[in-house]
Amino acid sequence: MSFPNGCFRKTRGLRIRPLPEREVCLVYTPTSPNLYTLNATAWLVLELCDGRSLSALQKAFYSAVEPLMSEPEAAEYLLASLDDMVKNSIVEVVPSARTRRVRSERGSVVR
Amino acid sequence: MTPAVERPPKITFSLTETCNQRCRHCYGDCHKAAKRPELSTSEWLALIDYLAANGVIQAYIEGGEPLHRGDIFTILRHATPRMMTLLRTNGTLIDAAIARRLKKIGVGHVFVDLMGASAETHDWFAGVPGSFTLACAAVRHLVDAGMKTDVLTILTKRNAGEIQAILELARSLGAQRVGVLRLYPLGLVKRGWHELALSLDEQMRVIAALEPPAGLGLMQSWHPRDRNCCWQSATVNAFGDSIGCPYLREYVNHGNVRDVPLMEMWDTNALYKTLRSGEVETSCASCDTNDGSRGGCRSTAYAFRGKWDAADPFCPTLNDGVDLRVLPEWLLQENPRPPD
Repeated sequence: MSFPNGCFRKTRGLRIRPLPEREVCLVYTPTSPNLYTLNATAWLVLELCDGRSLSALQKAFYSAVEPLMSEPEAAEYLLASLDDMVKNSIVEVVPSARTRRVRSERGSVVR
Repeated sequence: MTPAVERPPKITFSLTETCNQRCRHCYGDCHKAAKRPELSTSEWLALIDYLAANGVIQAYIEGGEPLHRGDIFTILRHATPRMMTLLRTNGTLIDAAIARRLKKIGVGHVFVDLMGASAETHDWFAGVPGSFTLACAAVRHLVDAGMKTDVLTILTKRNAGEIQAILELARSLGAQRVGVLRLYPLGLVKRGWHELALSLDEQMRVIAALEPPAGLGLMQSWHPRDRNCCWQSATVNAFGDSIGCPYLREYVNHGNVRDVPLMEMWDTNALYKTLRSGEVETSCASCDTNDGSRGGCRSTAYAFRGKWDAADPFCPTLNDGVDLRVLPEWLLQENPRPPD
């Protein structure tokens, strides 16, 4: 998976039902109707997807899971989770604010 | 440990008690017209909004026949952005255009009932000639429309010899899974119990002998998968009654959603809380491992033993000599209540 300039956020319209009593989170994706059950760690990944870049996500995720996971383990888990969540329309990748700004500026020059 | 949730994550809507068939295996007593006023369109839409706001994330919609309601697409269209929506149907009202419409609306999964692998058997159950052909066609239309589609069947004396053939038929139609369900002593089924019910040994033999074709999933809820689902169950029937589970429809009424918010019933109704507590006299260690629930299905435990905390006799470990072919007499009363 490679999203060099992307930021990760929850897909628009996503419905989330935390079940802390069972340490899982249910997620419904209306655009591609499915109900998923996320374990606590995947749920953490989802919560961190608030528009952060991959590097920011890696940093935040590792700081939340250390010392239970080593840094390489955390990175691997995060990438695999993001990959699954993007494929299943739980998370979407959007251009970073900087990329959007550059595109917007280029657009204004062209006009 | 008994599982528990603060609020129901999922709900069943028994949307209507009207139907275009007259099934011998009906768990209600459905007719073409409603016998009393059912919840209106606006009441269902308001209920969906209320439930979504309270964290309900999945709705299983059944009837009667849900597609027999004229406002079904309005209700589905309202539900699908808010909750994963599953639809159970006899399939006879689904042609190619309806299948595409269900897909477009965003229904997530459809379950079609097939009571036999032949028209003779299925139509005998459905009470309407031609039902088998239409139900099979519905599965094909749904699959062609890209809809996740499963077949459901209820194991009875009449179709026990066809269950394997139903699995093969379902696979050939493109279904993903077949759910083989137990027969509940409810509604019209009670009148024909003697000609439909199998002993537990007979049921277990049928289930054990099943060989699902490659690519077809099999769902069944006999030992070692006899769960006590009440811990998370919420159901509203066609009239707005909160009945916990569709299979408790004749025994339980926690109140009406027109009068009391469902979450208030969830929090305060004593029987509702008892049923969700998972406290039972005894349980089967193998079945317990499924979702941590204990004692098996509360509906059949109550029907055959007359107590909410009794063990489910559909599990061989817990059966203890109960002959499932013999219907307890009290179940035939108008409003069944067990003798003291």
